[in-house]
Amino acid sequence: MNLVFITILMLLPSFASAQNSAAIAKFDNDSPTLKGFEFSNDGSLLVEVLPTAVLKTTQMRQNDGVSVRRAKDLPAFDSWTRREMVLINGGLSGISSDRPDGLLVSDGNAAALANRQKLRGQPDSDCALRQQDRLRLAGLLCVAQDGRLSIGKFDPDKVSSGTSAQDKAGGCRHALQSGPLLVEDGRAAVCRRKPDEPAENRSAVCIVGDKVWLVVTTKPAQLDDLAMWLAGEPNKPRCQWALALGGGDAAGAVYTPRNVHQAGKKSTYFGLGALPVASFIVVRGRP
Amino acid sequence: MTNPVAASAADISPWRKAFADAAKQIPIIGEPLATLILDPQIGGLVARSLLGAAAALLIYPLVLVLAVSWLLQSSWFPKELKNYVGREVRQAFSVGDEARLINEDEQKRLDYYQFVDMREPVSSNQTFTLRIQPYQRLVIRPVLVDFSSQNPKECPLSASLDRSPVFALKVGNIYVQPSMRRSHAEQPAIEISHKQWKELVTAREDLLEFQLVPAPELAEDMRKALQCPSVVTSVRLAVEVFKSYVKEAK
Repeated sequence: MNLVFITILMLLPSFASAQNSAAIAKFDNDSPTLKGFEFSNDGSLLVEVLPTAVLKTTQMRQNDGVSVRRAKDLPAFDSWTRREMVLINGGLSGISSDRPDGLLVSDGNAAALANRQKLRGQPDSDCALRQQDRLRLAGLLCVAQDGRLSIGKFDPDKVSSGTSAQDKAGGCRHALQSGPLLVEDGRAAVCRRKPDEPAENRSAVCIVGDKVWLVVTTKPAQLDDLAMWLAGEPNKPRCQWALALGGGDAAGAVYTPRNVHQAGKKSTYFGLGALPVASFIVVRGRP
Repeated sequence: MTNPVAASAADISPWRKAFADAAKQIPIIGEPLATLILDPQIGGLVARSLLGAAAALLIYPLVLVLAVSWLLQSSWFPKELKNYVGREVRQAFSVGDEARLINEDEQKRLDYYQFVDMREPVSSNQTFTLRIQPYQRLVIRPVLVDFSSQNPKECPLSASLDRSPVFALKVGNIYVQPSMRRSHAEQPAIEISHKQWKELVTAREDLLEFQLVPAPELAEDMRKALQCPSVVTSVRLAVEVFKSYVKEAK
């Protein structure tokens, strides 16, 4: 009897892992220039915002972040890939590529405080979003204590009113200030592009019902096109909220299936992910 | 028998004559240069050399600019290289533009302009040095004043650091800017006064060493949090040194 009980106990973790094995689904939907990952927003997966400065070895360059392509050189990477994992570039960098630009809370501790810089409003603009002063980094990604992820407008006064770690980001275990918000309440939230605006590689995170999407463009894309695609159409809505992460050559993701150490299983890269970044968003099965 | 020199002079092309006429307009050396150009023996060589020099000084840079511009717009030019060249050109012009704007005011003739980035741990009280004559006019504009933690578990940041000045700028024992707040926008400029110069000159001659330290009015607990070993500064200062001297206030 005891033997049967012990056998069941030993099998339980592997059963849980099997449940997690299909937890992150790849998709490319109907967009030829976009790849994405979908997972349930029920807290079953571990979602973390990790500053690259914490993850680096002492041999790595000072005042430099780590690119998505080079994340495999980090000591923590092996342990992440013991389970299914997706890693995507985090927010923007500041004075050097290892300095987060804007609020970054990791595991309840603030690594960087809010960026309150505003873009000056242009009352004559034909786009209502540009007419008033607005935060340059207007969105906040928040991973609550229960592991659920949310995206919303960033209010610097609200998050920095207290002194405890939770107060800094309204109770978020992990938080990342970034911008712009691409979709707000189901509507595309960026202005139509100017004619000379360059196309760039981009990455974003969005909430689709009870799912989360992490998306990366595989070819340079315009911000308004990406926002429109993420918002979807009235009869086929997609994201309720979407937030742009750091873009350009830094935008990229890496996905590893479960038990990557087994023969024939390798990490797959999406987007460029060539430039160093200040933080990663890492989604993986719970240990 | 015909005069060979006269015959050769008659053969001089109208282009060379026009070139010699143009050269005559140059003050002092114009006349002898024109004679050289019209000289049947060496005139051709002189004209060609002058045209070559003009091409090297005027036409070559123009062609180079056009070629780079064409390459940057062509689709087959490697994107990485395109980004690199674009970044370099943008940076060069951004500093140049700042300098030009300052120079537009005749009262503020700029000697030099530079950015100073400070990215070391706050606890190291990092320094930077400027070569400057005593009483020379110096303005420092904080463009970015920020800090972050390289290890938030050991050195978490407190939001209360957002509510008071965090850094100060010192030369020797003198606070030239006693309070700088955390900000991503440009802050009021710091200018070394005549009174401050009076005290500084006794300490140093033509080198000023600035030190970034926690603001003196910072509470002890916040000072400790800021000086935690993993907390690093992200400070960028725009330094303007002028070709004028600070006068004593009357």
